[in-house]
Amino acid sequence: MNFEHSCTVPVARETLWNFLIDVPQMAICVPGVSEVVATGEDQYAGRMKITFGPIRLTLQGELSIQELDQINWRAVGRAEANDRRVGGGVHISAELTLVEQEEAQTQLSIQTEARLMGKLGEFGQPVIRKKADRIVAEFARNVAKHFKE
Amino acid sequence: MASLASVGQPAGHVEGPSKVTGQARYTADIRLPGLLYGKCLRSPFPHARIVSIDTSQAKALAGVHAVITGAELPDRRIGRFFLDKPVLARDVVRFVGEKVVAVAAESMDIAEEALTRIAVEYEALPAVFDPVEAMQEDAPRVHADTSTYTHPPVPDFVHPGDDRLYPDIPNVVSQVFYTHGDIEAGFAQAAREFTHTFTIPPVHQGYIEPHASVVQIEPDGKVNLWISNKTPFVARAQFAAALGVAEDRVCVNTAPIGGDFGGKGSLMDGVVCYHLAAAAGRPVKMVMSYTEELLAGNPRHPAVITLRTGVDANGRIVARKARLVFSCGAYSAFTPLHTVHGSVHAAGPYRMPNVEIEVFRVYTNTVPAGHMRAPGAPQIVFGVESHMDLIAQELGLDPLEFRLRNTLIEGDAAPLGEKWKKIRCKETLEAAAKEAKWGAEKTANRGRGIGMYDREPGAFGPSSATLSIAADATLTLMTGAADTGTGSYTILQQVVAEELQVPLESVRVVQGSTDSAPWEVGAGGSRLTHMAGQATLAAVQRLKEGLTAFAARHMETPSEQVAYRAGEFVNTNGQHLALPTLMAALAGREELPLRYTGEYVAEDPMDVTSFCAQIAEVEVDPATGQVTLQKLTTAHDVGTVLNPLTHQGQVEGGAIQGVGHALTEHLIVQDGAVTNVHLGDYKLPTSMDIPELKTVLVESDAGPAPYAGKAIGEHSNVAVPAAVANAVFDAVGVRLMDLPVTAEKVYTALREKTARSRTMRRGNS
Amino acid sequence: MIAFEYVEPESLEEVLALLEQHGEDAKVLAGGTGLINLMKQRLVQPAYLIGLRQLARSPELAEIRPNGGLTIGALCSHRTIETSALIQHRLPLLATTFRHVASVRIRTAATLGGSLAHADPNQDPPPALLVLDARIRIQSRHGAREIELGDFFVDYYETALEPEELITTVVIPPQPADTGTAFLKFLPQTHDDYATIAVAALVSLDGDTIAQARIALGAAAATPLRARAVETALQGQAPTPQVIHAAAALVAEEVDPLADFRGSVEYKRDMAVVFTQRAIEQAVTHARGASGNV
Repeated sequence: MNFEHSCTVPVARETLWNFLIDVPQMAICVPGVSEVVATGEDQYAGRMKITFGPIRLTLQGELSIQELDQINWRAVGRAEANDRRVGGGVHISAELTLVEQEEAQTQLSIQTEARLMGKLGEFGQPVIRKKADRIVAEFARNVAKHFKE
Repeated sequence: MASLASVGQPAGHVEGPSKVTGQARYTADIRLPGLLYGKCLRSPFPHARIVSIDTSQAKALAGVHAVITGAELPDRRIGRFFLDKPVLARDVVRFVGEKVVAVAAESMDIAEEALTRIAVEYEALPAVFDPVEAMQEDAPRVHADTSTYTHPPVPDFVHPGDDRLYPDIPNVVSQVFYTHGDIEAGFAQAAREFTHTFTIPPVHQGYIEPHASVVQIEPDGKVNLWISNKTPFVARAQFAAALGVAEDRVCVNTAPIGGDFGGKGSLMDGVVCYHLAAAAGRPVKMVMSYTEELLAGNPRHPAVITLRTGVDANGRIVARKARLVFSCGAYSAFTPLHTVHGSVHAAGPYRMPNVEIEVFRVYTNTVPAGHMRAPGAPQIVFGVESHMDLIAQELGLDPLEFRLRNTLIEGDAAPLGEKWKKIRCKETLEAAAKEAKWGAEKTANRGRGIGMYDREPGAFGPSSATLSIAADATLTLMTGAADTGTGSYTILQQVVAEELQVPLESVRVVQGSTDSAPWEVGAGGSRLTHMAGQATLAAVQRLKEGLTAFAARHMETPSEQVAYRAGEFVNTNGQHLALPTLMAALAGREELPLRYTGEYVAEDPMDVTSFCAQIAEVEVDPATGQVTLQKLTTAHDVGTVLNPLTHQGQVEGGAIQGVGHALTEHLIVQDGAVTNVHLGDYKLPTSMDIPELKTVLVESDAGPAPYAGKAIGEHSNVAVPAAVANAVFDAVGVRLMDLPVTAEKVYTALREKTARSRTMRRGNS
Repeated sequence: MIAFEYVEPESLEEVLALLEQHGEDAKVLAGGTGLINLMKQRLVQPAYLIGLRQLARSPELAEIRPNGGLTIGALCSHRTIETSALIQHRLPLLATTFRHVASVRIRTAATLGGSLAHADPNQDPPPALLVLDARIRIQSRHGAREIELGDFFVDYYETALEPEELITTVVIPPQPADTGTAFLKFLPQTHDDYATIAVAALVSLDGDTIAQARIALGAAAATPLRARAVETALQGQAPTPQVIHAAAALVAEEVDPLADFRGSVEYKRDMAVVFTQRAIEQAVTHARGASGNV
């Protein structure tokens, strides 16, 4: 599953960059994420709760930064998380790109590729796709909101 | 022919009552003392290297008795023809759904729980999903090295072709050429040429019973296997080879099969089930969920079909070149042949002197393809019959007229040179056209479309059957072939009853295990009525001869003066000896029951075929694209119909399966993974979706089965998709080159057509 | 499936007490056509499963009663509603709609309350209930509340129901005079499928003008929805083909369909327009020949 989102954040590119590469801080903008701690260089562990209707997932997983390319203002991260009770999980690869629009205005583009594992893949894929799409959209909104406030 | 008493009667399935009352015990119903339940962890990646597997937490779970990975098993690949599939993935996974780790536990729930405690680390590899892309030089290789893969010689009962196995083309498993005439000379004669390409997605067989296996290992090492497999003796050979043991160390036991449609010919979970039983020291049962079936069963091959045809000035076909590319998925192990043998139908039942068919089977990182009812034929015939209509349209000919100019008639050689007796192709098409009122006026948005096919009766492998008569004169026919729901037991019962002139219900038909029944290839390829039927005839003949000798002795009359007649022997003196009296007299003197085995091997090649012509009538809602199949006419050139009820069951069941293929069924593959993994999303037609069905039988007297019967099982499903697509074109002028014919596709095509005609009008004004 | 405790209380009070006690750890089981699948897939793992079988004779939960309009007990099966003489006489729209759900086997098991609580936006009954202005009666140990069905659905599979609450009845108010209705379920695949798009329409006429129009859609967004813009455009207008056509076109802006195996977003949006128009036309025709029944 592939998703693409973009939003405009009212802040200079460098400020946004520094915010995003501070993973524990950035991760709070992902709805449902908690307890993100560093476990090594560019390695983090964390938890994410997702609910839709009666389905409540607690995904426990790891996030790593694969690429930090400040010359092109591009960062790539990868996350693998599982819900052990359900017996399924997700593999996510996300690419963030920052484009300066005006002095204190930056466009954040997020390209996400997600693969569902195990039992999660058996649930209605279209609904999960929609849910995942919303999570990324909300993340983008939360980042923007962080700088507005 | 003399009038028949039992043959020709609409006898209900002998095993029917046990199935509809729930008494039939399928493989999934088997319970044994100490039985464990097996489940597999499957790959979420279409192509990846297995970096590590940690099963420690699964092993620690209470109730888990075995956890095995591919690395722990002997490095022995399995398959029906090509031995290319590991029992559990080793080092590499090649499709989403491939089995990676197997667990046996005291309950299904514990087994499922154990799977959640297994950690597998993968490293994704580049994958290829499209068979045409897979043949390109820069495509990822699904199998890095096929040089160690083995296979038997190509069997001689298939149509002879130029067979190239693992040729030097990326990912190609087999490349086969079928040629007849001179293709270049043929095209040189053509006034016009037409080329079209069609795409067909994979479909699942849709049987009700998912694959199940049970393995029990006796203390002396003998292995008892129960498995949803229609060819128990072939399964035994493959299973023994997979275990590396002699065949007599394995017994394949019987259990009813809940639908096959071609999908029940492999070992599926059988071998992994054995390894779990061996590791746990207890019997193990594995039953696939329907999600596993749709994700990782053995569906019909998806195909890309390109047809090029040359036609002379009189609308007669002079040359046909076909290029057929089938994706066999990640493994070739699920098909019993090197190629997709329906490919020989790429010329259709038409007169064409110059033909070249090139067929590829290609590895891709998708679910491995297997056999399904008339393997390859629906894909090809969708192309062939759509192509026929496209040509007719270009030539300004009515589709029926164009076909009538080209159908085979008595005396013609078939496109690949076969010489058929009693060709009834034109007659069958005309009968269908008459019943469907071809040419009659239609209301707006209604259309009719034709599809044609021909298929010869199955005539491969030996068949045998044992007829026994007990002390109380009861008759039991034992066959080694499974009745997959087609009614084969009933046909065999009718043959025995007919020959012995006894009531149907006095003959019992049972399936024997591989330890008790005589060797038999089993169900498949429309062969049982013919092959097992002839073997049964032979068994009855032997029984008659054997009993006549006993009767002669008892009546103190020379054998040649004793005749068998309807349950008794009569000698020339007018003396009668009823069967029960004879058997009572034999009790104590002979070892009862008396057993007589008949065997049969077909003459090769077949000299008859059967033609099928189908006409669909549809109504299209132009506002939505919805296609409603109003009427389906299916005409068949048949021999003697041994059982009109089971015969009609095959005609109707097949036609409805064809309707599903035409309109709703397809495995939706995204990034290599099947995504519609529930029957709520994979739409099989229901009883509410069946159109008015008209069957026309064009009778002939030339069949190889007993009483001049032919085959019917793999006929009526084949041409329906083409007939429907052609009818949609007739209705609203929209041509779909891929299946299924969904409302959205028709809607989109209609909108494009409207936009095009608007542009043209604007251009003209 | 993961081990759970199954209880089958004898009374509504006991059910509510258990819900209060276990909250999110408990799930209520009625027909089981939705929940059991999710449990088998391990996606829902309740510690307590509260079976409602013993309440099957409770008048409040299991009966259909005339009450100005009608009240329908939450434990009524789809089949009961479809075949009820009272419903067929008073609210034929509902009988028609419930007949469209899945297959007779599913309808015999699935209950009204269970399907509403499941809140799959592709279901058939919600659009019909929405155009009838149905209200939903919910009870907990702390009392009862009644909310509009339109406020009940929150998101995909999400409702306003709190963990300690149970749906007891659906209340359908009396309908306006000279009313015609229609329910159209677009099924381009098989007859047992979920709708690609479903539209319910209710139109009441005052002479030659539309006094009131209510339009609702299923399989069109994250929840079943009322097409308010379409309704407003019809209100007070004569039901001419032009008016209906223009009003139906407005539904395209109101739906937010999900791309799935039944169609793309664009196709479902186009079909929403087609079937909204057809449903209004049918409802108007029925209203013109109305005998007072809905």
